[in-house]
Amino acid sequence: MDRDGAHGEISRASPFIRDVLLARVRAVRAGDAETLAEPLGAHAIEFDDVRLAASSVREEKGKDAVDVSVGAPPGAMDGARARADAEALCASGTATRVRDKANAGYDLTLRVDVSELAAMESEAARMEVIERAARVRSAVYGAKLRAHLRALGETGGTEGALDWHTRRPGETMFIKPQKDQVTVVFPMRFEDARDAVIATQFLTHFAEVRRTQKDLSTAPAVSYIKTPPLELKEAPEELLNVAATNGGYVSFVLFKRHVAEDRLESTVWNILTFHAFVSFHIKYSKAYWHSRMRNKVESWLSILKRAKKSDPNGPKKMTTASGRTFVRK
Amino acid sequence: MAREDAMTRPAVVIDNGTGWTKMGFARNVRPSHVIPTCVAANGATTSGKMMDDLDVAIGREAMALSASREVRWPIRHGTVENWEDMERFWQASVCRYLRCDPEDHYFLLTEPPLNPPENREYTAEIFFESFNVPGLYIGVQAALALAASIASKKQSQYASALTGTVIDIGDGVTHIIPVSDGYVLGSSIKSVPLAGRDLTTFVQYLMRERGEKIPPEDAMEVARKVKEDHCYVCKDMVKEFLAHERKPGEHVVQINGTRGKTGEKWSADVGYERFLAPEVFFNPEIYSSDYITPLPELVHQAIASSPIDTRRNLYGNIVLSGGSTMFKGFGKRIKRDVKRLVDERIAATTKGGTLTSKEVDVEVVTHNFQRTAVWFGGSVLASTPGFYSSCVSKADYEEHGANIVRQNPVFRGI
Ligand SMILES: Nc1ncnc2c1ncn2[C@@H]1O[C@H](COP(=O)(O)OP(=O)(O)OP(=O)(O)O)[C@@H](O)[C@H]1O
Ligand SMILES: [Mg+2]
Repeated sequence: MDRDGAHGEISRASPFIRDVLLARVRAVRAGDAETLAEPLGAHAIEFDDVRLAASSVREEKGKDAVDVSVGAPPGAMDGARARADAEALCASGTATRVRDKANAGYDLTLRVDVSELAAMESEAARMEVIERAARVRSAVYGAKLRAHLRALGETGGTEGALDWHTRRPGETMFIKPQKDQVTVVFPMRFEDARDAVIATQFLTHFAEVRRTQKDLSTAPAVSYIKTPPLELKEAPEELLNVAATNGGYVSFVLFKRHVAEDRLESTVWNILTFHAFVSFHIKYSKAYWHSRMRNKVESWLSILKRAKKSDPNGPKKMTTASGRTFVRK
Repeated sequence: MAREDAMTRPAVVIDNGTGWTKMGFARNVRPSHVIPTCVAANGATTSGKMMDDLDVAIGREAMALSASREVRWPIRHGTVENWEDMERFWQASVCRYLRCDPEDHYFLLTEPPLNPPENREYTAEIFFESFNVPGLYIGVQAALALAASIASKKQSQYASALTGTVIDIGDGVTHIIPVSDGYVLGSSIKSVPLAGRDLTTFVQYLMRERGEKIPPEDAMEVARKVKEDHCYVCKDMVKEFLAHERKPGEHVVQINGTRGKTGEKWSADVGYERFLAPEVFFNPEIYSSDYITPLPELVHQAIASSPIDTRRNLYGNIVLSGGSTMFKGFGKRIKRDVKRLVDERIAATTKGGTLTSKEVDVEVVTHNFQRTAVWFGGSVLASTPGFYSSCVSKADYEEHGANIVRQNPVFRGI
């Protein structure tokens, strides 16, 4: 996995797709008939309820291929554009093609010719084909945002109607084309009220760091407010659903420089995965607090242990951040 | 609040072993990822940068950082010992490998037999409080392995009784667990802290003693590969030894490698260790002076101490699980040796009498996914309709606190 994954960034390539393809290629190269004879039918679900599947196809004898499919909740797929983007970003010659029709239940299917991959001389070239296929969800579900950002790159930015991309029912990312810029707004919703509190602190900090740190000055501007920003005044009420938005509103302002050819794809992906990024971060910080707390409890318990003989109440009940109690001996 | 539609999605299944973690989604036959259960955290957590707590590598990436960071293994002999690292490991597993919203899925985790209830509480705290999972099930590894073997034998007969003896030998611990009707017979469990990692050490030792020239920094990895690719269980240690002496050409294999640091090529011979390493299970005194009861003897003891009416079924369905049961010939040898012990015992009890006891059948079930049997059993269990209701739900947890998970419900409906 890319090293930057370790810093909380979400890698564009799906580890699931990559590992499935790698394992299959390895089996073909090793002539592992036992593994290949077993039909492959693997599936996974990633954040934002995106479904992934890999299934083996035997088109002809001695040729091994794998269909890689993606599916998302209704509303996330922007049909024709998504296909064209997958074609441009994920297909590789005859090794990976976009299928005319997606496999049942999915939005888009790539057919990866594993035999061809296995026969490739260059390891680097092979990895490149796999990597491109593994980025399929960014290609497909980033299509709408990508189109707006491309337009910004081409025209320099003109005022346009508010648009949106549904990540999952009730969770919308708004896109507002403006003069010289595109503004993307995320209403932040969290299943858990405690998470929403942590998110509020994190996002405040996030916007502040962006403002004050010099080395971030080329990153998109971020603002964080508690009420819907002006850009959302045209938004349909049912999509906005202010009552359910317990984590405030994050806006990113993107300029032409953010969508230069070499930056476009990482901009699309980073924006698209912003909600997941925050939600994973919250889980990490809770883990961090829990371990700090456990250490405290532990040191406190060791004091208690030393004083145990004189403690008539026996083991103490401990309380965690959210009020759960547990007893330790 | 947990997402209400979580039951419509496949559960996440994670089997954390001493050496390897298997993770993926229910209804799959194989886990999506199998990675070493280790963590390399950034030691300097005080620099104040806001993303520092995210700077944790796990699995192979953690091992690749061993030159610059301390690599820690949070599980020892099957049991979690370092909860901080374990929590970090789970975080990274969920957020970077599976990349799922934990709110969206029920989770099935595994535990070794006789896991202390406090450990279950810690686990529940982490999963309900850090991850907000809607529901959690913690299954005993042996029972899951048994479920896996039933599911693999006859797809249609999930309902057959969950009775059998599981031999689970992974990286850090060996367990022999009799299970009757899904209940683990706790008092009959045998366990020895001698498993795959020890065999690797033993192979490494034997090769070093013979003076094979393997770069020291790779010695452990090479030994593991040798063990996994070339070792087998023989019928008789002494005879095998003589066979090797007589015709080394037929038994010795050569392995080659390149030293990472210098690019130098090396080669080494693999000889006696091919059968001596797994022989540790059958003649433990060749490796250890602390644990000297042979595995078949332990199996026999475990079953003999189980309720009398279950014994026939326990002998008749011995199930292998864990990477270290994958040696060629392993199942056959267990079967033969256990059978001998049973027959001896019958002979001893009926000697001189007129009673003849009925013969006892010993069957050892082997299959081609022993390595991930526990995980697969979890995947099967989590695919049954009754699974979601046998989980502890987030609501149960909020109402009763962590001690709701102290008891381990036995699953039915498989
Ligand atoms: N083909 C093989 N032959 C022999 N040993 C193998 C083989 N494949 C893997 N192993 C060994 O099996 C061990 C890993 O098994 P497994 O994944 O079941 O253990 P674990 O679940 O991590 O540990 P535990 O169950 O003890 O906590 C390692 O020691 C590995 O070297
Ligand atoms: Mg195990």
